Order: sequence, then structure tokens, then C-alpha cells
Amino acid sequence: MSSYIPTYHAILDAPDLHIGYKNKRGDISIANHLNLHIYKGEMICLLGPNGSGKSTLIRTLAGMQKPLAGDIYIQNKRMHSGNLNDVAKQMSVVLTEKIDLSTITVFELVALGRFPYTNWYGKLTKNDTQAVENALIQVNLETYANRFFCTLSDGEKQRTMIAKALAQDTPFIMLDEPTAHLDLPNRIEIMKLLKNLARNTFKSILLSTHELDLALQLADRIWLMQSYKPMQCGTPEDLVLNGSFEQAFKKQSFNFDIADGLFKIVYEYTKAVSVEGEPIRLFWTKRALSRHGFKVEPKQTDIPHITVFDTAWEITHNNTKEQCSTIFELLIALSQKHIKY
Amino acid sequence: MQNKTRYFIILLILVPVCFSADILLGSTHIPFSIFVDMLRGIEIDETWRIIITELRLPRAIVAVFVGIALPISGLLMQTFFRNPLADPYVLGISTGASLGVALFSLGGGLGMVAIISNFGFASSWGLIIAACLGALMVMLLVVTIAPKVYDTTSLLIIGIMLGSVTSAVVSVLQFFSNPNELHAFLMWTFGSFSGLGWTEIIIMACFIVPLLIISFTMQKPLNALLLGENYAQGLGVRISLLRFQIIIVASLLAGVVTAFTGPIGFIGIAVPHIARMVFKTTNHKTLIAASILIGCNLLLLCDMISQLPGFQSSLPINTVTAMFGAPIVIFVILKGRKSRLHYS
Repeated sequence: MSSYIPTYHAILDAPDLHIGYKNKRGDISIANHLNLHIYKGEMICLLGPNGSGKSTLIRTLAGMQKPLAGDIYIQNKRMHSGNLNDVAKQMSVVLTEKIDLSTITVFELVALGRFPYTNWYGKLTKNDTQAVENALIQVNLETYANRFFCTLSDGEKQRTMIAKALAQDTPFIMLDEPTAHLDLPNRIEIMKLLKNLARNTFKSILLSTHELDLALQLADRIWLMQSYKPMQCGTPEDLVLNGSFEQAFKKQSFNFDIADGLFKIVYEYTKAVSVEGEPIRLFWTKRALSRHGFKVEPKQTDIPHITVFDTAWEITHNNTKEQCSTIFELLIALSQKHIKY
Repeated sequence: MQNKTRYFIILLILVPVCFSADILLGSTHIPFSIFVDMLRGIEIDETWRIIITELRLPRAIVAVFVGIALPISGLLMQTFFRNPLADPYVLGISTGASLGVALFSLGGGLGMVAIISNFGFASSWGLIIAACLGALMVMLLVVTIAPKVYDTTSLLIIGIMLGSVTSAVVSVLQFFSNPNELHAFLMWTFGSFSGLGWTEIIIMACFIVPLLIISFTMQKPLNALLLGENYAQGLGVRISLLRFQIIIVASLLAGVVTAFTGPIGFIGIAVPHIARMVFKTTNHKTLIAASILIGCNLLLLCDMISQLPGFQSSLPINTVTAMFGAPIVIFVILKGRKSRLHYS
């Protein structure tokens, strides 16, 4: 994987963009004074809590709704003045809309991506067929060309839609929550696939997502949207260090740990114990204890003390000792004791 | 040979076969040899000639027109609404035509229009104009409303509501009309291919041929529309223009046919589904051509059944199409419930 070098060649610019909905009683503003730039070959993750306006921004950038004010420029050309076919050659989209067609093959669906290039009859030239086949290879679906789309798994369907965007052969691809409804391996696979595409083909990719961990690890830049607050743009690291991340996702029930970049659940502690032992076994023992409301404290006389051995756990409490062979047994044993906090 | 090509060839061969059979069969049986003689330009008995050129031939041609117009109209509507049960009638176009006809034929009872043609019900020009105006009125209403509602589901509901209101007005008119007029109107609602002459056929052709060509040119954006309006726009389709085109073409196709033959149900829904089942594709390039061929054959067959040999009078064409169409609609619903196959 070659390393990403910022080129500052902007694919898309949107200076002073105001987004929202037009209404008879007036405009409903979602976000104002956005200054957006997307550079060649970078992957941008658009993050933000539900309702912060991610979809509105995607829809506006895709030309599906007009901005309240400001213009969008693709390759220095004003988008809303251009003809739709030209825009379709610059920008492709993958949306959350479900495709429910029983009798369309993967190849036919991906071939729809060639729409801006084919003639009025939609005839595929050799060039078009080649582009479709290449797109399928890039998403590892080359053997699926003649399968019916409806027989694919959710992950494969999403990859097909990405192949459609690739067949459209645009310098800029925009994806609205491409990892929604997918399981963890598929989520990681899709994100890595997109990252590799940005790296290897120098396409610019903008995707909205709720995968905070993956976005922190894979995004070149993050756009962080929050309701009623200005949008934060920057590398993941910049946003972590200046506290934007912690502030945006701060909730009572979990914390963003700036030390390791992970989100942690805040447990409610009702009881206390002390623990000692070998680091890895100790780590998982502590985790189980936290989940069950035990706060781990330094060794004291009046709280139970747990010693973690290689094969067993030993509880010392009020001068009695008890052996447990699993964490499950340990938790049961602890629950039978009267422990104060 | 590919299956697809084979099916197309079979359907293409079937069209002239069904067409000839439709001409030969009927209350008076025409010998095949006489038909062949006429085709070869040999003088035949005047009675046979009149039966063939003035009665059977126009009838078969009308059946072909209906077989072209209604399936395409239905196919366009199903893609437009992304709903397997949408067809021209959903937009209330046929009930609009019915209203026109009802105002004309039953209006006498209300003192609105007092003249009813002496030359039989279906050949009345006033009737045709009334039906076209009725269809056009509902169509314009739909076209006016269409840009104002964002999603197609709302438009579908508006279409159904418009249809309900229109048919309610028709019912009121029926209630106040005298028995003779009511009978004539009811005959029209049964649907019929007979009683239409060459003038009407030329008028129909003037509408149907250009509309057919336009729908062929629309197949590319229609395929993009299968992915939904947002994806289609992302591919460069001008959605507002395409919506307008679909509504106009589908409405006119259905409106013109309905005006001349009375409302014929189920063909608009059923034929595109048969085409999808046979050709196993969603590509409009194939579906438009397949729907036309299947529609022609099916309508000619329905017409043959409606005028079975030995019967002096013919069955209403609507009852015959319902016998074909209703089972297919039920099948589609059952299949859709199992796996939500065709559309969302």
C-alpha cells in the first residue's frame, strides 16, 4: 500500500455552503457556512450522531437536493449549471436504497454504471464491457457476473453497488452508510476495499458511517457533523487531540478514551473487590467484574480479594478462601457474599 | 440458440397465426381456402369479402392495437411506481374515460347532452371525443399533482382516490339515467373490439405508432429507473422529464384504447408479468418487445374465445381478459409475498 500524499488537487469544492430544506414557511437550515474541499485520492469519513445532517449533506453534494445557499464545484465547474450526464461522469453514488429486483444479474446491474457513456439505446461497447469486468474484479465479484442480484448476501450486494460506482468511472465516489446492515467482517472488508480504491486508483471517496473505530483507523480525513455546531474537518488524529471527538460523542453511558482511541462503556459500580494476577487473565477478569458492577480497588481488609492463577480464581474474604475454575463460577460465588461498597 | 431468441421467434410466428385464426373463427366460419384466395388477390364472394374486410379484419387489428397499448402502458406504470400491481387503471385514466362516456351517454337523463348517435353506440364520434376528454382530464390532474408529491407511493394513492371519485360520479350518473341509456353504457363498459371501422383504426394508429416509438426510446432511462429515482439521477437521468414522459405516454396509450374499446382490465397488469416470467429479465429492451408480442397474441386469443364458433353473440372481452388476468395477479401477489421478488 503506497502511502497517501496530500496533493491539494481539489476534486470537489463547496465554499460557504448552506444546506437544509426549502419549505413554504421558510427554509429549514441544517448546517451553515460549510467550507468543503475534497482532494484527489483521499478517503473522507463523514461522522456524526443521528440527525446531525449527514444524509442531507450527501444528498446535497450528490445534487439530489439544492443547497439553500452557495455552490458546489466539481473539478472547478459549477455543478447545478452543468448537464446531469456530465456530473454523472464526475461523481458516482452508492445509496442506502434497497434494490429489490428479482431478475437482474450482477453484470446487468453493474453495467447500469455505464449509463453516462452509452448511446441512446444503451448498447454496451467492448470498452463498456471491459469497464464492467474490471469493476467486478476490483470488488472480487468476477465469478458472480451471471448470478441474480437477489441471491447475493448483503455484503456481496454492497460490493456490487460499489462495482456499479466503479464502472461509472468517476474521480469521485460518494457512499451513504455503506456499512449499515452488515456484520463486522463485512464492515471491515468494505471499509478496507474503499480505502484501497482511494489508494490505488486515486479516486476520492466520501462516505458517511457510524463506524467510529474503523473511521479513526482508515480515514485520511474526517468530517465531523454535530447539530447546531460548526462542522469539524481534519485528520482523525487532529480531531482526537483537539478534543472534538470526545465532545461530539460524549454520552453518560460511555466515554471516548483519548489514551487508546476506543469507546468505553461507563459502568455503574455498586460493590468493590481487589484483584491481582497475570496481565491478560487479569484484564478479562476485571472486565467481567466491571460489567457486574464490581469496582476494582487496591487491596483492603474488608473487601474480597481475588487472586488470578493460571487455571483458577481464588477469593479471599473474611479469612475464608474459595476456589473457582471459571469466571462464571467466580461471579456466582461473589454474588452470594455480602459485599459493601 | 439462446432461449431468449427462441421465445422471440416463437412469439413472432404466433402473431400472424393468431391473427389469421381470429379472422377465420367466429359466428360465421370462413373457409381457409377463401382466406388464402383473398390474400393471393383472387376475386372472392362479396359476402365473404365484406365479412373479412369490414368486420373481422378491423376487429383483429383493434385487438392487436390493444395488445400493444395496454401492456406497454402497464409496464411503464410498474417501473414508474416500482410496484408490481400498478397499471394504467391505477392512475384513474380508464375511469376518466368512463366518466366522459357516462356524461355523454347518460347525460341525457340529466339534460346535459341530449343527442345520442343513431349509428350504434360505439361508432359515435361524440362518444369517442367524450371518452378522450375524460381520460385527458384525469391525466392532466395527475400530471399537475405529480411534481408536487415527492414519492411515488403518494402519487399511487392519489391515482386510486381520483379513480374512486370519478367512478362515484359515474355511479351517480347511472342512477339518474333511463334504462336504455344505462344498457348502452353498460355494454361499453364490458369492452368490445367490434363495431369499429377503418376511420377509427387510422385514428388509433396515429396515436399508438408514435407512442410506441417513444416508449422504445425510453428504455435506457427506464432501466436506470429500476434502481430508484435517486440512483437514476446519479446516473444522469433527468427525473422530472422522465416522469413527465412516462405519465404522458402511459396515459395516452391507455386513454386512446379505452375510448375506442371500453375499459379492458388485467391486460396492463398481467402481460408485463408474463414477459418477466418468460424472459427472466428486468431489461426494458427485452420487456417492451416481449410485452408487445405477448400482448398481441393474448388479445387475439381472448378475441377468439369471446366470439366462439356456434354462438351468435360474443362474450364481453373484459370477462375473457379477467379470466386470464386475475389468476396471474393472484400468482404475482403470492410469489411477491414469499420472497418480495419483483419490486419493493
